Amino acid sequence: MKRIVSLFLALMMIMSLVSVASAEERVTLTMMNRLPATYVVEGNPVIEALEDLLNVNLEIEAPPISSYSDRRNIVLASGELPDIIYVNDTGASYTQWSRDGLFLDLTPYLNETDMPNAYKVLTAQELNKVTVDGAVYSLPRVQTKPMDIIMYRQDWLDKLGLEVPTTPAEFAEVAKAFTTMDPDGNGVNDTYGWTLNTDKGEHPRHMISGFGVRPSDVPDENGNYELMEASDEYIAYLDWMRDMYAAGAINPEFYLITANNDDELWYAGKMGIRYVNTNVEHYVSDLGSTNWANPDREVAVAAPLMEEGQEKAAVYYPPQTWGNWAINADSENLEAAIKFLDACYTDAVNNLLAFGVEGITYTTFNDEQQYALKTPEQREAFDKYCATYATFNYQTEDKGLLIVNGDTIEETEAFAQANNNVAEKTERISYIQGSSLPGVSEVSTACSDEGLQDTFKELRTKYICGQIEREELVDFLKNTYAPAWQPMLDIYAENNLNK
Amino acid sequence: MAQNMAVINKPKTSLAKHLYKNRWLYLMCIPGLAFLIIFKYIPMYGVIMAFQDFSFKKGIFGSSFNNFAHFKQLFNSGKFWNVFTNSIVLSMLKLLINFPIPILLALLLNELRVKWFKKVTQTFLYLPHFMSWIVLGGIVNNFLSMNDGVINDLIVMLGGQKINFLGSNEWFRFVIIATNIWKEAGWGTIIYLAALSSISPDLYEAATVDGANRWQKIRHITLPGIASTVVITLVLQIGGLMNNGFEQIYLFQNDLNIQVSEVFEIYTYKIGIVSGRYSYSTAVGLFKNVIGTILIFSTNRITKKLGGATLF
Amino acid sequence: METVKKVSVKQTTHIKRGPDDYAVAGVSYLITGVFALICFIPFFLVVLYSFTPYDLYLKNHFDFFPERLTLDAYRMVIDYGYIWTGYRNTLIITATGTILSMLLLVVTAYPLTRREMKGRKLITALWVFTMFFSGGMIPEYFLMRSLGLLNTRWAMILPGMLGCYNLILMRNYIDGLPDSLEEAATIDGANDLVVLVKIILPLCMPILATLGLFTLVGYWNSYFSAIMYTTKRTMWPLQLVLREIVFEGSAAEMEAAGAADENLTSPFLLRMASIVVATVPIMCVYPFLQKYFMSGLVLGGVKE
Repeated sequence: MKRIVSLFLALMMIMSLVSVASAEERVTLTMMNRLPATYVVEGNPVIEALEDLLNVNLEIEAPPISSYSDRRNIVLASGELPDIIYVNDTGASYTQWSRDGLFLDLTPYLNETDMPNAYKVLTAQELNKVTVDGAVYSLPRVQTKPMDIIMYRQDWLDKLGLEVPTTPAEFAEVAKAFTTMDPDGNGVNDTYGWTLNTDKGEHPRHMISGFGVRPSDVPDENGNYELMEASDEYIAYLDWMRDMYAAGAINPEFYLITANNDDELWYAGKMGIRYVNTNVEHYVSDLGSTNWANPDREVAVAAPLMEEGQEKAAVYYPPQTWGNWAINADSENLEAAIKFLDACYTDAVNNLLAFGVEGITYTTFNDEQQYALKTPEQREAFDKYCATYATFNYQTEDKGLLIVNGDTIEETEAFAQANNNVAEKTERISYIQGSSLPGVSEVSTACSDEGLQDTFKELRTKYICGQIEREELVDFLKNTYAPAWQPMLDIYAENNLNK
Repeated sequence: MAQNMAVINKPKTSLAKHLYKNRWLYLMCIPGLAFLIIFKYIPMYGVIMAFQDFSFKKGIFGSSFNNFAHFKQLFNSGKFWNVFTNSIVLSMLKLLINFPIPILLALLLNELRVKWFKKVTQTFLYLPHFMSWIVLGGIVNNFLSMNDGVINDLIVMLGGQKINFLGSNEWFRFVIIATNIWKEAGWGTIIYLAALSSISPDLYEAATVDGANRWQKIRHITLPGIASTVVITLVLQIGGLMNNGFEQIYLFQNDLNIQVSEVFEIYTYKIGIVSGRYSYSTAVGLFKNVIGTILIFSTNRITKKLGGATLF
Repeated sequence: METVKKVSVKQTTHIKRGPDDYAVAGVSYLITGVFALICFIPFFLVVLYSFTPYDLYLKNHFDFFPERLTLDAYRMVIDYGYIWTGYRNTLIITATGTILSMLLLVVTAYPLTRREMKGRKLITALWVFTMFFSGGMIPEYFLMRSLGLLNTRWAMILPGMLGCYNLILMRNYIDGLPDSLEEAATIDGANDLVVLVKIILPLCMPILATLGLFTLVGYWNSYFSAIMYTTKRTMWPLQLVLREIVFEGSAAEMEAAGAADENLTSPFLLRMASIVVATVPIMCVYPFLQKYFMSGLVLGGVKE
């Protein structure tokens, strides 16, 4: 008993010494972040390195990733916010919280002296996404350069003597061939071209780019705004889908696909085309994976579809952000929190959080091409101590893509090669989304309250599946749907959005 | 009315007398009442949110009231009647079909005499209850698919036409009802089996001696024996008539059945969580619960009039 | 134990079987048997899938005899750091919660069945009211905070300890017991607590086993209060840990995170294994409770 007590006292003394020593200079910041289940918070050498680098103590709360928003809402309502909070929302809730005054208005600090790094890295378009009533209440985590890609089964193309398609017409031809010409050679017509996955977005940019479809937020050359879903270009895209559906070239039950079920079809060799919204990781992991059910699989990577006669696919990109960081307006460590958050927008911190510490999570790191080579043991440590979720600013403008999953030089080079090929064929058109303009959310709320959005989805899917006539769809789009959204377009026009 | 002999100092007033005589009963009530008040009634002020423009900063006591704006919006919403009808139709179907099935199943289980068979059967029946909807949904999709689903293959083999179970307004309710039976009917038998176990075997023996046949025994012994449990669960079920549960419907909802699959839970989720209108979703929940309360209190009154078991 | 045997002997020997008995028996065996098989399908598939390598699963979802089996998914689940604290938390929460809940249930339900108890209808009505109205997450969080229960296991035990549904069923069951027993005991001079413990409680075993099972399963499967009231991963119950392991997020987010899995084990396999890990322990409890559901046990016992 005595021994335990004395041991305990000794421990207490050591601990108090340590804390006194560090408390003199180090501020303790509390933080709430969304981290995956495999990420280890306690005793994480990467976090320790970050604390040393920025001279702070971090107390990180990592709620369940699957229910992050539930926990976040309770924390926001409790009045006991951490100093730094990962908001993970730039929509209506975020606007409400910002107006309620939960978050620090960062606008006065976004300059060269107070937040030099964030000021340098974040563009006006990116900041626009987190601006409420003219003020910036959080900093976005940015993915600057992801590119949409379409993957094709090269071995299927070769077998059928086809080329990688570039236009919608060629694409439809390949998709139909994949359906009817038994590309896997098993004697049964049990494959199809591709599947739509509305969970990845209602309208895949990869496909609509082939029809010159313009987002509602972008005016035409005359400065007129038009609702995208009611435009002739968009209806042409639906016609194309309907034609492919009738030929069996699209998964007949595409409307049941959610989450990543489409990947399963791809891995199972049921379909020969798969579209992915960012090629950051998927291409590498696709090559690196065990090619699950199809060991002979070869994959071709191509840019989104382009219009007939064009050299490049013109793809409209809103600012690519993934979540956002805010500072508690009532924080007792405002100054330290601002300094810390700003420092997290440097490449040094970004690389540290994404790739970890040399020797522990990687062997060599290539800053220019943003990849790190790892041994299998380092890969294991990497999975525990690093995560893209843990980064503050995922990618920055002047750097290449993060190639987090590539462990060997072959993998990363194959990826870089594919990436360059896609980049050459893609024309990125950046634009600002108007959804945060005052009054827009009321319009969209009214549309969903009236059930118009549901009707739109229903009619669109029915049209693709050949269950309704073209007139019914066009009549709804032009005479009901577009007028309901007109107030939003008027707001866009008033604000000269993207002019 | 037996006198309590232990009483020495007889209290003077009749109330005190009553309390003292039944002191153990009243003492027993204390933990339950404390629990009821602390965990159920104290937090109930949260209902106020339904009448407010809720602000996270100001909290429930600081947010401003908005003159029933949420309710006005709800009743004026173009979707309200659609959602209301869908919810009621689906839960009425559940009441008609899914409510009696566990009772029938329990009666059948009660007839089983081979012990190992009974044990294995019961255990199997409970299994789906432990699976989440997301897992069951995946399996159901595989079975009912138009592509290579086993059920549709079977229909074709028997000379029928393929049925789009998953992607049509017509079949949506069927799928919900059927999968609900699949998941919960077995688990639902437990409560009736417990009620059946309290029926004395002597009654059956006596009936057998009197020459009653199987049906007469079921009608005159078994059914009266579980009647009060059935009535009570029925009343509770009717109180939940506005509820359809979230997970199952959300999982089976898609673009092609959206006209019949939009029920209150889904609507509230989309409105409340996705577009961040917390107080609005509280208001929808409140509306639903007021209806549920009215239903349960009036059903209780009816069963009382009919002389059946009552809640209170 | 004596009584159990006697009762079952009576059942098998004394009941004469007529043709209608055989018809009823035949129908019973057929319907329950078929339905039981249908109910067995998902569990069977989940167990099968959890051992099937992903490539074989992809090739054929309904291959009941895969050529290879794998333990990869289980290895990953077990390797995960918080799985053991998860088990520990869940066991503590489930055991404590179920016992306390049953105690509270009995003492709360019994007075509500006694006619001399004033206000019993009001109390029942107040309970029924709570089936429909609750304060929601925010006031409940403030309550737990002011009770000082945040980051304790009590926060996961207390709020779900007693529900109206169980209470009504319990009360209803006690109500159905013959009054003569209680009256006899009261005449003997026993107080209400003694009557409850000595006379009522032994008769309540079937309903206690039933509601105990409901409560046990409820605690075993609960995870939401852990999300609300705890901040440490070491406080997570098993179900929350497993939810996290198999969490896939939306397709859009998967791509944002670049979280495509490079492992041999697919998230699908992991999900199957985690269901087995979470379900099998609780299913082992069932046979122990099953004997209480045996027909005729209670009153046969009383008769002795």
